[in-house]
Amino acid sequence: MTRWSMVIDLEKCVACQGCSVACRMENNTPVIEPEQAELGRSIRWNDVFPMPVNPTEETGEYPTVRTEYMTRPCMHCENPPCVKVCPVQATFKDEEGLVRQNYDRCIGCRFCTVACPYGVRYFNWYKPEWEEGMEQYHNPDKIESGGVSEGPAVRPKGVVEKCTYCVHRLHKARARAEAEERDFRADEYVPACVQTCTGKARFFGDLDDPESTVSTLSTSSRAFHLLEDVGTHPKTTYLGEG
Amino acid sequence: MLKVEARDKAKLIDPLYTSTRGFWMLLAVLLAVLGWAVYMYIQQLTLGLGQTGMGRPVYWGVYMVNFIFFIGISHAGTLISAILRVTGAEWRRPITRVAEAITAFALIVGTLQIIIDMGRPERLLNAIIYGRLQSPILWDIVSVTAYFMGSITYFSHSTSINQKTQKNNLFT
Repeated sequence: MTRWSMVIDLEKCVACQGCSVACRMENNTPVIEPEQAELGRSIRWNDVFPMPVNPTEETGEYPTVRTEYMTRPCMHCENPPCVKVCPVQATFKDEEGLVRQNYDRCIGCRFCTVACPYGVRYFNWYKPEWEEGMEQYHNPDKIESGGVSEGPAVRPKGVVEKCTYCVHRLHKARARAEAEERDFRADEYVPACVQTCTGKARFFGDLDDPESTVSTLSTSSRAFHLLEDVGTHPKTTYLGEG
Repeated sequence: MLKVEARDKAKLIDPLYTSTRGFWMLLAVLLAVLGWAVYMYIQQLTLGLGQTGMGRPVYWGVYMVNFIFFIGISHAGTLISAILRVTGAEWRRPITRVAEAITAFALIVGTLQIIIDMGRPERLLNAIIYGRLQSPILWDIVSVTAYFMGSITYFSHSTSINQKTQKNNLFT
């Protein structure tokens, strides 16, 4: 059994926001106007925060000022609160531990958005829009069949979307391995943010394989999870600074 | 038909057939409010829920508050009707009917709030086809449906004709 997991090394992160941009391009996230963003309607499956988030707080006195950043994809919890509250099973945890979202079934009640302690779920308040001509550069990958629409498929208005660890890449890698009549290897699949990471601060792999990079790194003394005390058991692990 | 004495007719029956100018003015104002609400809802349906001013972290707004409020109103109706029936207060009858009517109709208004709040109201039936009983929204659906069935049964009994006495339950 595989359990996909991500490790983010904050020591190596240079806060270039490349993961955020790669995620946008890969998953066809809509862009919105600044007034809309002020209402908190921007959609960032992978967000980059300055730490502390509140900019009025100062960290250290000049010249010993510190700036810390934290990148945040979906935690893909082992015990996801969003899955439990969805009344239509539009969001679900698949057998490989990915928490996915079916846009075709979502009724837009936003219970998952309220339930998620990490705030990684985003609601489409309006129909997604892009600048003139941008539509032709959309990622054509998507997971679509009767009543199922996932991944980078362009979302209709009024549904919730979220980071899927680029699950369409997993499907593609599996299909390629099958077409070439060989076994699928875990290192054939990485999400776009991991692939693009400038500082090589992100690692991705199978947590059930004790030899994998993520398994070794998540036993590090620097490893921690976000909101460990709420019992969600996130699979996205951070390696703290220093 | 109801039999009403002549001295009561002027007070009870006549106002049903005549309307004052104040009534029409009030009706016009209320219709204007209703029309505005319908216009806004059509806006919300065609453009998206962004029209409501909700965002992050205000994922749920006045709609959900209204839902809870109207469920509360509905419970108040049940409570008043139940207390008056249990204590057998003889002056209770008109109040009990009103309370039972409030129970049923406040519940309808409350449930509508959730449907208005949904991003894709046309997929409402998914909650029954693919329902997940662990979700509190499904508890809402189950409990509110049961409560609604109970309250309209009760209400229809109160306002129907008693077969034995051939009188309206409303006045017995």
